[in-house]
Amino acid sequence: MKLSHLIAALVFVLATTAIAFSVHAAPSVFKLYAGANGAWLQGPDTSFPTDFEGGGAASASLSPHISAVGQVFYGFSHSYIRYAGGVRVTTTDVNNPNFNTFLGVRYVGGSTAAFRPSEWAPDAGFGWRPSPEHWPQVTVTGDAGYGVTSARALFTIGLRYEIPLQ
Amino acid sequence: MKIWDLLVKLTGSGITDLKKILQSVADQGGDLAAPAAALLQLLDSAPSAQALAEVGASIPGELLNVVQGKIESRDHAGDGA
Repeated sequence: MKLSHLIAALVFVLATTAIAFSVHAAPSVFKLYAGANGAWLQGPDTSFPTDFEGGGAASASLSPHISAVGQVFYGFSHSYIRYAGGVRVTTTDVNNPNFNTFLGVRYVGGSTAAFRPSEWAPDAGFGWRPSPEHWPQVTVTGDAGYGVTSARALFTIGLRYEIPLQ
Repeated sequence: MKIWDLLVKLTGSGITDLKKILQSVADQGGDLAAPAAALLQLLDSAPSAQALAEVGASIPGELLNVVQGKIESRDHAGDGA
């Protein structure tokens, strides 16, 4: 519980300060995104198999390999809010800004039984900028996480738009 | 194992560096010393939601400029996933 508070504190502070002081923050450390997902949830007590989500995410690159991340998304078909915050490690070339895969762990939860209890969820995913020259702020993303308490798996495929901070 | 040690073990040197940066700012004194110390204390504790909100809202942009100038960051396409 205390560890979750600590990591949540870090993510919260980084995300909050990125928003509150976006005028001062360099995008190389803090980033904000708006995005949409297709979401697939599988496992015990899941009330829906798929949904379409809209929401936002924030990240802070703490070192070449390590980032703190947080996100909140709303499911339009089933009217839920889900959130996640955690850390991830880039597992591909950190000097390639246009594609990377990652491994991470997140603390996840949400407003409906399908996303409860709040729990830790190891996850893996990727990000890809399909046209870095013409659309450098657009990223295709994919992520798969597994809740260690609920034994539910959440898969998402999405699009992100990086909101300019300066 | 202390909570902080476990977190550092999970996240590698990045958060260790962040804490060192904040400590150096706090040690230097001046206007940024107090907010840097407050953030350090926050990271070392298990704060309440109210404490998170209060500290998060009171961090000056200048402190972020100092921190971001020292963090060796990268642009990861997958950070928004």
